[in-house]
Amino acid sequence: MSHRSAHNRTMRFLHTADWQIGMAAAHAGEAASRIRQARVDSARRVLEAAREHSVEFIILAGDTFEHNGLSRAAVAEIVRLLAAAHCPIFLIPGNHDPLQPGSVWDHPAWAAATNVNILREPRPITLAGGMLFPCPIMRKRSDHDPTAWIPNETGGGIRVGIAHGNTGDLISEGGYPIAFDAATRAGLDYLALGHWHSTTLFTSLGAVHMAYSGTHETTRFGELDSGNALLVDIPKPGSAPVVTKLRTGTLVWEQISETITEQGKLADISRSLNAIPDASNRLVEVNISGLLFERECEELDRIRHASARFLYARIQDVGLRPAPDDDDWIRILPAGVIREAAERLRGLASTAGEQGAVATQALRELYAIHSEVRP
Amino acid sequence: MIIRTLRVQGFGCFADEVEVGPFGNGVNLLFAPNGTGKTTLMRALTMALVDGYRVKSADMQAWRPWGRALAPRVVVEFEFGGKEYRLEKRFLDGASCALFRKEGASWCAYMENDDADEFLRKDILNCTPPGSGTAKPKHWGLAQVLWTTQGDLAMPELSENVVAAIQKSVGATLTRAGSKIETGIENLYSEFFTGLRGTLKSGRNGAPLHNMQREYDDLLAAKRDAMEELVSFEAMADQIEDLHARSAEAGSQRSAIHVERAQLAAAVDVYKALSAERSQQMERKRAAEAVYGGLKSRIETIQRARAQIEHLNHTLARMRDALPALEAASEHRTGAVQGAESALIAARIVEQAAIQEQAVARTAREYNDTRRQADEASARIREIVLVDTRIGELDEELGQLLAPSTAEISGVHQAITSELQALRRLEMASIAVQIEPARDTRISVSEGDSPGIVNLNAGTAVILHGNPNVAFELPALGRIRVNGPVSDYTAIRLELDSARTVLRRFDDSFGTHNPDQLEAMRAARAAVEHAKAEQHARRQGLLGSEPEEQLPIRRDSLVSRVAQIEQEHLEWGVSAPDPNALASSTSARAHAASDQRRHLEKAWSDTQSELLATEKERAAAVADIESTTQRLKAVETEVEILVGSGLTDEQRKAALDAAALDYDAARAKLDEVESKLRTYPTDPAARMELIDRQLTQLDRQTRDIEEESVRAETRIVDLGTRSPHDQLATVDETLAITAAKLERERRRMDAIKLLYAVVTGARAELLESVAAPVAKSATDFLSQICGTTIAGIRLSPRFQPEEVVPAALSACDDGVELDRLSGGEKEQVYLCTRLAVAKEIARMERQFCVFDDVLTFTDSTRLRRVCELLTRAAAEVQIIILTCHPERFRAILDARLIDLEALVAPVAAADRGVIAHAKC
Repeated sequence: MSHRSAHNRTMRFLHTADWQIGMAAAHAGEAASRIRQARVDSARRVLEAAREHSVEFIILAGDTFEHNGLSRAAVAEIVRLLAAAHCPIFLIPGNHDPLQPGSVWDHPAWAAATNVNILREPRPITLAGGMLFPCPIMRKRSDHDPTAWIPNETGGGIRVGIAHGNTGDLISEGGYPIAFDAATRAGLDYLALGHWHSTTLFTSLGAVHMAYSGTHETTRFGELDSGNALLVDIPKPGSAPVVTKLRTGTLVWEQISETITEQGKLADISRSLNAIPDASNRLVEVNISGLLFERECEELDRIRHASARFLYARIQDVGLRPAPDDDDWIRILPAGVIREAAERLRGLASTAGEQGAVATQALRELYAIHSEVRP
Repeated sequence: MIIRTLRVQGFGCFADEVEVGPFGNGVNLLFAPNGTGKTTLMRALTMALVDGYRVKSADMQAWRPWGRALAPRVVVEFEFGGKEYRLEKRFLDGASCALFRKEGASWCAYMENDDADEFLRKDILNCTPPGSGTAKPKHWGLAQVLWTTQGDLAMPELSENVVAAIQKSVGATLTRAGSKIETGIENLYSEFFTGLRGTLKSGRNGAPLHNMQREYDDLLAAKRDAMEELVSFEAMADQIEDLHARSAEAGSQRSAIHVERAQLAAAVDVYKALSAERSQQMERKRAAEAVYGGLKSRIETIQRARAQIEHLNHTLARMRDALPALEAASEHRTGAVQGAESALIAARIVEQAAIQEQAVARTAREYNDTRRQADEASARIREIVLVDTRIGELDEELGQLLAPSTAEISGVHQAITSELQALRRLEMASIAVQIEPARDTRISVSEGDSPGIVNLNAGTAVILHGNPNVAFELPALGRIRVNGPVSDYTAIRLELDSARTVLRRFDDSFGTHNPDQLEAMRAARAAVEHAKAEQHARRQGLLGSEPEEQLPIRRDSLVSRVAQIEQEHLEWGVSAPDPNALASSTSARAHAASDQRRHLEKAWSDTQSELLATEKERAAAVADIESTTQRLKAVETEVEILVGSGLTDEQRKAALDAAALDYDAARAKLDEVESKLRTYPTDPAARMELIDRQLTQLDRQTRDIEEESVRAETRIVDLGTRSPHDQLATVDETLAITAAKLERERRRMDAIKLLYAVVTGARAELLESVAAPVAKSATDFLSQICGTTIAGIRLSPRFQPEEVVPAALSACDDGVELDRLSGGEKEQVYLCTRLAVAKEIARMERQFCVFDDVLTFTDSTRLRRVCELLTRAAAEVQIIILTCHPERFRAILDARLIDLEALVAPVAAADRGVIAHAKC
């Protein structure tokens, strides 16, 4: 740690959390392993951002690892990564990697990472220019406010807390509740929080004294404002911190939802998919519902084909139902059994749920056979 | 297919060739009397068309003409598909099958043997032959509808392929067009499923869904295992934390225990000393108490004994004063008892005499009763002897009467009837030739009932009988032979002889076979038997319930007793005694003597009781005196012992006071020690012991916790190296991918199954609806026959008529089952159904229907309408009707009439060799 006057220099540090290295991505199909690797790459970018912005130290506010049962090789890789950082790193265990027997924190590789400080006890740590108040997590679940021990005192420079838990009204049982005003109650200049994946700044009297950095790499479809780290500058004790969001994530999780009401829309979707750049870093979920015109069945295949270039694509078309007026092709079916069967299937296809989806698929099979045999 | 000609030879009654035809396109009426061979002809036709030429079963053999070793042969000319064919089939010997087709004006060989058979079954009739034997109607294929068996219009249960063929011929236009798509759907379905129920194919060529499901299940199992391991890992961490906490707690407990132990050590010694002193003081107190108690007790005992001695002396004096009075009373009571006893003895003697007098009266009564019973027994015995004599006479009479039984008389009637019947039949069977000679002559009868020379007198008619012939020679004329109907003359003669033999037996036994005379004999014998039965009944009444041998014995015993009594009372043998008079005189005396005796007995008993009481009292007084004296002596002895120590009463009192002081001092000292001990709530040594045990247990627990911690920490490290989270994550991801694929595949399989099911269902419904037009046709036909009485025929999907709907009911109500119709209406319903189905089948190829001897229950009015219907139907189908009543079908216009009898008659006549006929 650099020496400096207790009250003269701005304290600059990088606030990150929820790396959740080794996170399972079952919802991403075959791209799961690629996603896991992306999180390691993004961790590297966080350290690079820290170097670029010449921070004094890095705070990792919990959930560095997905689980204490993670492979030891993966742990060792991260330890090496952290050990190569240009500055000290202060990290606390989170609810995913609590400080328990057999945890990742027992790995012998930590001994070599002398710049990495695993904060195992809730007691203050003196820094140049201030103090750190860590709130390490010992168990997966607790109803105890981890910041409750922090004494509200003055003096000692800039006061920075590190905690991991939930704020707000919708706290589930055992979810480490942290009060909205925890920072002011504990007399902290800044409380670095981990647990939420979206970057969230809590403003009080025009200043941000408490924030979630969010996860450094987006984890799923629909996750808002994630893939960031926070650069925090605190000029002096009692002053408003300057918090800057730094983009660290590279994966894009894009959702496209479309309700088809007329012919031609499927082609539009196909074209728009083809126009999307950076396919190798993009995960796409396409939800199509509404009317299916039989002549556009092949368009669905084109959509699937267009989606194949993305890192991951999920096409949900079970909500499609045959268009009620689209009976030209049924009219040209041979009269008798086949036409009667097609009419019945169309009737079944209009029902909701799985039955409707199966009947729609049956109708498409019939259409395919009809297309094969007609002259 | 329609028939042109039919030629049969060597088949059943057709030993020689018979050709029938040509059949017309419309209605053909083949008629002949019963037994001519119409049905046989029909049978030959069906066998030629359906049965294979190689069939050699027993039922085929049975079709050889009787007594001939001929091979059945059938030749059928027919039209099919616009071409003319000729089928020549020979069964059994030299079996063969040849099919010719007319090309131009010539017949050309087309197929032969198995090929020809196959062509007929598959291409024309759509039928399947039986596995063995000749074909039954169920093997006729479409012809099940077109041809009836003799007299049976009811529709048989059609086989599956026939129903399908009918449906196909009617509904072909409905499905043909979509066949390529249906084939595509079938192929797609067959690629993944087997059977109609949508069972996914398994095995090497199974549906991919199976493998996907297996893969998914395996992944699920792997996930469970990975989850278990992860949970174990997490649980292990919790467990280790828990063990650490317990270890810390155990350490705290040990420290606390050690502190307490140190404090207890000093208290233990003090407590021990106080306890020892308490024991000593308690011992001292007990000793002082014992001395004091002993002294006090002695003094009190001496005082009590002296008081008791005084009391006993008083009591003894009182007892001795009362004793003399008791002895005097005892003497007095003894005298009273002796007096009462003497009086009682005298009264008993008087009573005994009175009782003896009463016994004589009883004996007199017994004498009279016994004598009466003896007389009665003797009279019964005499009467039984008379009855036995009469029974003997009746037995003699029966022995001389001979008569038949009722069954035998019934046999006579039967024999007489049989004789008459035989005679009548004989008469009917025999030929009678009546000759009325104009002049005298003689003839020689060579054949007849009475062969030989018969003289004929002019003007006297003679009748010659015989069977089967009567032949005689007329001189100068020649031989005349008369033939008659062939009958079993010999059998009738035998019957007659048999009947006459029975009648002769009666004549021999009873002298007559006249039923009335026989009946009279039977009645006479029956009367004698009845009289005998009456005598037996009377005898039984005389005996009653007493065994026969017992009656005389009892009579003799009674007589003996009478004699015995008369010996004791001689006067009674002369004049019978009066028991009542005797009894009344002795009774009063006996009562008085008994009363006196009872009174004296009571008095004697009372005096005895008083004497016993007095004696008891006296003895008790003596005993009391004795016991009191003994007690006094004992107490005096006790006092001597107690005062034997030589001390005076004052000295003893002084010793008691000193002992009391010692006792008080000992008690005070003990209290002091005990109050010191009470300051300790419990014995510190016991507490020390408990603490030591706790310490030992704590040490053991701590060791266990440490060992468990080491094991757990080793285990968690081991689990950690297996990366349980990564395993679970990998399985989870693979599972998600597989689940998505599985869902897509399952949905596709469901879609294919649904498509197939919908198509199959639509096809089935469409084909089922084929039955509707057939039902409509059948209903139309029936309405032409019945008018509007019946509104409709309901057919099953298999074209079976199930019920009819009367015009009175709406179409929605339940109809009337066929079993509830009359025979005529039922056969009309069946006829209309057959015609309706035939009409559908004939759309593609004209067919021929055969109705063999049907419509026998249909009335003439409806039959006329049936004929009109058949005439109209003949526009679409060829109809061949076999009947022995051609006149019933005269309403069929333009019917081609074929007289089978005329065709076969010349052959039959030559075959039988008949010369002349004579009718009885």
